[in-house]
Amino acid sequence: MRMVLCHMELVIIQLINGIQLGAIYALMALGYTMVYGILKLINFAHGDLLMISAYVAYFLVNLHVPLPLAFVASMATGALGAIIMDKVAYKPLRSQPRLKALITAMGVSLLLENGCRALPFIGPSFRRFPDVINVKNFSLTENIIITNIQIINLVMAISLMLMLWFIIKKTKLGIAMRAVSLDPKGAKLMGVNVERVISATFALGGALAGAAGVLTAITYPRLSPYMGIMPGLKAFIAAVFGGIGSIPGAMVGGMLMGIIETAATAVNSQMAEGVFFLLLLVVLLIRPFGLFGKTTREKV
Amino acid sequence: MSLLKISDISIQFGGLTAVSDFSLDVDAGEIVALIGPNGAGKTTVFNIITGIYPPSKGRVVLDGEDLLGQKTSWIAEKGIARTFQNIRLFKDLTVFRNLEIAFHRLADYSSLDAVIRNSSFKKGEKLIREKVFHMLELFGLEGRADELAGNLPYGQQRRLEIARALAIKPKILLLDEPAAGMTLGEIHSLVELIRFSRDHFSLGILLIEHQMGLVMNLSERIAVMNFGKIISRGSPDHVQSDPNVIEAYLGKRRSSHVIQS
Amino acid sequence: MDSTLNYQFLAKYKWPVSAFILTLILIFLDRFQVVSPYIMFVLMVGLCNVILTLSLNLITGITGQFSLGHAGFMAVGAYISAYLTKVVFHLKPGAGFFSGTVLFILSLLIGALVAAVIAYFLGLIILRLTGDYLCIATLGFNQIVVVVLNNMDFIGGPRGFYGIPKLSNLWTLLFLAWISVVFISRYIHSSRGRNCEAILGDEIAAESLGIDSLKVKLHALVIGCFFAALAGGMLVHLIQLAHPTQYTFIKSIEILLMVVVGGMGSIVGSVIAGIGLTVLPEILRFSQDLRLILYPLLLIVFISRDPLKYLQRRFSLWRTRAGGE
Repeated sequence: MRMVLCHMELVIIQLINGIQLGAIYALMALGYTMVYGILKLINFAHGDLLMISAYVAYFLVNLHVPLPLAFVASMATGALGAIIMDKVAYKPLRSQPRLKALITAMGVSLLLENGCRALPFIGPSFRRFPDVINVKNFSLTENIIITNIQIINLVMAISLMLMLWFIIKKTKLGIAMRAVSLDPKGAKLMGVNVERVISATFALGGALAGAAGVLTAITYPRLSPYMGIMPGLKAFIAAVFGGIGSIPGAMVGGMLMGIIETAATAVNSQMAEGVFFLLLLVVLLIRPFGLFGKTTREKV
Repeated sequence: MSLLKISDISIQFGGLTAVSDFSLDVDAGEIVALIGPNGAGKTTVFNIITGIYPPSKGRVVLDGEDLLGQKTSWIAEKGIARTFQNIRLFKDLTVFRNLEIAFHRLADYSSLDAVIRNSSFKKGEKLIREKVFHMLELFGLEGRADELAGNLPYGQQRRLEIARALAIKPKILLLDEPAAGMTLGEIHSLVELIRFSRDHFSLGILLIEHQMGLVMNLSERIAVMNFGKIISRGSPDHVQSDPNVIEAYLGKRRSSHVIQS
Repeated sequence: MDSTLNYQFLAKYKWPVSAFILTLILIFLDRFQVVSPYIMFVLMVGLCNVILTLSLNLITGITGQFSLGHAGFMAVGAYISAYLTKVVFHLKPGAGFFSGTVLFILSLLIGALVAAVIAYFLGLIILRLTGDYLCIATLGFNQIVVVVLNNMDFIGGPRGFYGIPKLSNLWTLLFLAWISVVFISRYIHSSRGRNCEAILGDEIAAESLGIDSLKVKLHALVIGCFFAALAGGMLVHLIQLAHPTQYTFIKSIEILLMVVVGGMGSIVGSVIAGIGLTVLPEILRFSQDLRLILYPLLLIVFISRDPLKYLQRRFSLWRTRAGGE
C-alpha cells in the first residue's frame, strides 16, 4: 500500500516538473508553428531568440533592473529580433524555393550562436543567471513540493498563451493572420497587408520566445550562446507533434513533450534525448500532420 | 476485350464525390475524347488511371492486368503515359536531357557498369542518344536540343511533353488539354501530331480537351462528364446533339426570352 | 572565339586534367615542404571534406532530397573503422603495406558498408517524406546517432574515443578521394544520375515516365551515405580522436554549407568548396571565432544571392548539371 503511494507521489512530482518544462516548450513551439503556418518556413533560428532574450534579461538584472521589467524588455527584444531576422534574411527569399529560406534559417541560427560566442561580453563560457527570486517551497503533501519558480513559470506561460489565443481569435490582426495562413494570395486580394501580418507573426512568436528565454534562465540558470539549440529543437518537435501550423497543437504538443522528457529522464537520463528524436521519427511516419494538423494533397 | 478498361471507379475528396461510377474503354489505335465543364472530374480520372489517387471503388485494367493500387511508375512501365494539364517538363534541364530521362529503360546497365564505363554502358548510352535524336526529328525539335525545356515557346513545350510521354513506348497515351493556350496554327499541327503518333506508335489515346474543333475533328468516340458522372457518350455527332450535353455546357433553358435578350 | 580548341580539349579531359593538376600541387607541397605540416594536415582534412561535400551533393543537389543526417553517417563510418583499426586489428602507422594500408582501407570499407545498410533501411522508412519533413527526420536520425554514441561506453561514450592510429596519409587520402570523386561523378553522368535529376525536377513527372522515385532516392541516399562514412573514417584516422559532439546536426549543416557554396549539383564546385573552405580560413589565419561567423555568413549570402551563377555562366567547366559530359 505504501509502495503504491510512493509511486503515485513520484508520478505527480514528475508530472509537475514535466508541465513546467512543457510550458517553456509550448511557448517556443507556438513561434515555430505560427511562422510555419504563414510562411511554410521552419525558422531554425527561433531557438536563438530564446538565447538572446535570456542574455538581455541577464544583463538587465545584473544592472539591478527589477525582474518584471527585464521580463518585458526580453520579450520586446525577442519580438524585435524576430522582425529584423525576417526582414533581413527571409524577406528577400519570399518568391524563391522554400528550401532556400530553410537553409538561410540554418545559417541565421549558426550566425547568431557563433556571433554571440565571439562577442566579448557574452563569450563561449557559461554564465550564471543571478538568483533574483528567493526560492520558496510549498508542500502539497508530505513529499510533493512545488516551488514558487515553478508556479511563476506556469502562470506566466499560461497567461501568455491565453493572450495569444485572444489575439488570434478576437482581434483583427488574428483574423488577418488566419486568413494569410489559409490562403496568402486570397488574403492579399482581400486587402490584407500580408507583409505586415508576417512581421506581426514573427513579433508575436519572438515575444513568446523572449518570455521563454527568461523563464528558462530563472529555472535553469546556466546561460551560453548555444543554450537555444536544444530547447528550440525540442519545441520544434513539439510543434510537429501537435501538428505544425496548429496553435492548440503547439500548446498541447509542448506540454506533452515536457512530460515525456521528464519521464524519460527519470527512467534513463542518458537515453532521454534519443527518446525525443525517436518519437519525432515515429510521429513523422505515422502521422506527419501531427495530432491537430490537417492533411494536404498535392494538386496534380 | 479492350486494351484499357475502366469500370465503375469512384473517388471522394473529403465528402465531395469527384468521380462516381465512371466507366470507359479505350482500344488500341483509337482516339477517345473526354470532355465536360471545368471541375467535372476529368483530370481526376487521369490521376486515378495513373495511380496518383487511389479510387474508393472500381477497377482499371490494362491488357488484362489490374492497375489498381500500383505505383505510378509501375503503371507507366506497363504502358500508360500521360501529359499534364499544367505542363510538367523538367524545366531546368535541356530538351535533350528531358528525352534522355524518358528513355531511361533502355539503359540496361548496372550502377557499376556506369562507374567503370564498360561496353555495356557505352552501348546503352549510344542507343539512348540515337533514340533521342530520332524523337527530336520526329517532333521537329532537333534545333532545340540544347535549350532549357522551360525556355521553349508554349506550343513546343506541349510537343516536347508528348514526345517525352511517347518515349516510354506506351500502349495508351493520356493527353490532358494538349491544346490549352495554343494558337490556331499550333492547334492545327497538334492535330496532325496526335494522328501521326496514333498511327506511328499504334496507340490508344484518351484525350481531355476543351477545344471543340479539335475534339470533333480527332476523336472517334466522346464521353462527356459533368459533376463526376458520364452524362453522354457516343460519336461526335451523337454527343453534339444530346440535350444533356447542351444543358451541362449552357445550363438549363428556363425560358427562351432570357437568351434572346 | 580563338580559344575554342582549348576549351574543347579542357571540356573533354576536364576530370583527368584537374585531378592531375591537383595531385601534382599536393605532391609538390608535400615533397618540398612549401607549406607547414599543419597546412598539409589541413589540406588532407580538405580532401575528406571533398568527399563529404560531393556525397551530400548527390543526395541534396542532384536528387533534391534534403538531408541533415550526413554527420550521423559520417560518425558511423568513423567509429566503426576506428574500432576496427584500434581494437580489432591493432594497426600502427607505418607498419608496412598490408597492415598499414590494406587493413586500414578494409576497415574503412566495412564502416562505409554498415552506414550504407543503415541508410538503406532508414531511407525505406523516411524517404516517403519530402522537403521540410525529410529534413527534420534526418536531423532526428543524426541526433539519435549522437545519443547512441554517448551511451556506448566501450568506444568512450561522452568522453570520446582516443588513441586512434594515424593511418591516413596523403597518398591514401588522395587515392580514396580520387576514387570517390570518379565514382560519384560517373554515377551522376549516367542514366542513374539523370533519374536523380528527374526526381529533383519533378517527382510526379518522373514517376509518370516509369521512374521509381523511391528506388532512385534510395540509391542516391545509400551511395551518398556510403561515401560520407568513408570520409568519416578517413578523417578520424587523421585527427586521431572521435567525439560524439563532432557529429551533431551542426556538422551536417556545415557540410551542407560546402555544398551550397560550391553550387548545388556542381561536382567541380564541391571539390573547390570542400578544399577551399577548409584551407582558406587557415591560410588567412582566421581565428576560430571569425571562421565560425564567416561560415554561416557565406551560407546566407550564397543561398540568397547566388554569386556563383555569374561565375558558372562565364566558365563552362564549372557547369556540370545542364551541360552533361
